[in-house]
Amino acid sequence: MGDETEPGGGVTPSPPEETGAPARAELADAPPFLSWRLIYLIVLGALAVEIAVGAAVTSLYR
Amino acid sequence: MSTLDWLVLFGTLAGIIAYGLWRTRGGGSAEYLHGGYRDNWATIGLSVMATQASAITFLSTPGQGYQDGMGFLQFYFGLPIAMVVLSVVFVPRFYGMRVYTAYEYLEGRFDLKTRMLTALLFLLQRGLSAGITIYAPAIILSKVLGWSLNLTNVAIGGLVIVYTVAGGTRAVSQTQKHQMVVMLLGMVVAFVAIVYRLPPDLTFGNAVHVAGALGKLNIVDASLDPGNRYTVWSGLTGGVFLAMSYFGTDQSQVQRYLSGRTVTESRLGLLFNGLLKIPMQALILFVGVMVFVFNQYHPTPVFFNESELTRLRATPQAAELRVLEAEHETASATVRAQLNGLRSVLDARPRNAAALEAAERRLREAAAADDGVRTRVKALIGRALPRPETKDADYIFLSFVMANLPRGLVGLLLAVILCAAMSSTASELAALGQCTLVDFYRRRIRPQGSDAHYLKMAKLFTAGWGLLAVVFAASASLLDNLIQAVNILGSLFYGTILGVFLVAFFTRRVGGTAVFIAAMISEVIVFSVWLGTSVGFLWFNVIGCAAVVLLALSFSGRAHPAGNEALGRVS
Repeated sequence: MGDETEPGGGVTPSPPEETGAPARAELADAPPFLSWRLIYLIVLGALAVEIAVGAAVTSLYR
Repeated sequence: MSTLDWLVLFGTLAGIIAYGLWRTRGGGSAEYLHGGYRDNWATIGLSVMATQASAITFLSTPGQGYQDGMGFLQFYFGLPIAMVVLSVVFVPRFYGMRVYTAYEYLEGRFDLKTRMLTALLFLLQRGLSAGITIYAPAIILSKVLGWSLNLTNVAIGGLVIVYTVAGGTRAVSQTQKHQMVVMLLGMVVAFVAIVYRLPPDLTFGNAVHVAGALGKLNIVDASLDPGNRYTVWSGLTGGVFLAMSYFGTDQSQVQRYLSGRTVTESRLGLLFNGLLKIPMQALILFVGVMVFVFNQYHPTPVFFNESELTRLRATPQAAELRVLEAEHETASATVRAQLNGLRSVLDARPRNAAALEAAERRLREAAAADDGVRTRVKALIGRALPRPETKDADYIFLSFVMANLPRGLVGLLLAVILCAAMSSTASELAALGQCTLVDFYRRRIRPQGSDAHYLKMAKLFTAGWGLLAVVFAASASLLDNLIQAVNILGSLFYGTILGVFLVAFFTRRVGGTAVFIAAMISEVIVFSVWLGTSVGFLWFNVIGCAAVVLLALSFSGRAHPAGNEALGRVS
């Protein structure tokens, strides 16, 4: 980008077309083959499994 | 250390840094500050993990597993929930306003003074903790390796400053990705090596049984006793709160995921962290538990910080230490005898349940007697030495590595610890430089500079914070209880900052003046609680956050709702 001038001090940064930043796919962008709901369920389900395994190991050796 | 260890250590560190700098050469200030929005979810996830994993994670956590078992894992139970909340609430809002820093968002939502206040609080707490991130591992590494403390501080800090200043946020992400791989790989290799080094007639299953019999596998504590620091309930409540504060409002983390190619990549990176963090911490704690089992079969020092023992031997209490060391030797021999008894019972077919219970009880009694001797040694150190260091948990893992692992692996494990020190410090310095430039310099001092000027200033600010961190690390030994002091300092401000963000995200009628006044009053409340009561500092986070939210809501009817029109720009 070299010495290209970038507008600086606004309340918020300028949108990408003004700054030269690459265009970005925004909020509706979901990964292929998965919905966000399913991904969140996987993360929270993994937590539930980890807690259950932890509880089982604890009771096994208590 | 052998030549091979040095080669592995310096080869790993230099290779990662050189690769990171080569991949990120060139670019302007925007590239320097947010990496050109090029990172994919894997880079973001590993970078977020590497930022959180400081050297202390790899020094203290195995020690925690060794001494207190796996219960510390519950501290992380709130993290996956926080990652989901951040993905749903925080990330889209930050992306919607295309901000460089989290505090910049607050100006759009509220006003300039709220942005300045939160940015200033961040610079204050993170600027101090950057010094500690360097100092804490340096003090342990210098003692174990026999290096000068100041030289170790300068070596860690200097390397980080060079590649963070040269390459900016993209260099930090690129190096962190590889540093995190080295850290994970190193811990897996360490685990395999420790299991391999267990006595040949002790099966892995029996080793786990020994750990369980000695109370090291109590992972989940469902009790409601407030005296228990780590329970499943505190993890699922306080843990969520702390993780949201840290990952959602601390620029050293926000910068990591705002460098994503798309909002999807950022969300997936955070969720990747939510999936991997608990297994990673479990592995590190379990490494400590296996070192504990290993040490039950081998002679160990009565106290793992050798330099404190050396100091104690030069005092009139040296004779008392010798008596305690002899007692420890006898108690350790009794533990080994009871372990052999337990192993015979475990190997018997069919197992006799009553004999097993009796053998486990005898082992626990023997181990408790040995623990009693260690406790008396700590008390002796506390009595006999000026500025004593009575906790030795941080030295356990490194002492084991230096004494027991084969050549090459020692260098790899030291590389893991130094990678961790550098990765967390690099994120802090990059975020401090970025925040100083974007929230203060570019916003208030020189709004219309050229890109080249901002790039130069970003590097200068980053270098300045780095030098300040090294100076602070070098002088840290002059202060007592420094780490605790910095933790308290962070807790004094974290809750207020999170409260401001929660008001920004979840209310529409609260304006800038109301939230600013609420934040100021909540700081007064938090400081009053700190100075006037004995409430634990972790609760300052909850008090500060709750005070901001409640006060801002109650003031909102009276204050002018400045900045609310900006909500239209938030997705």
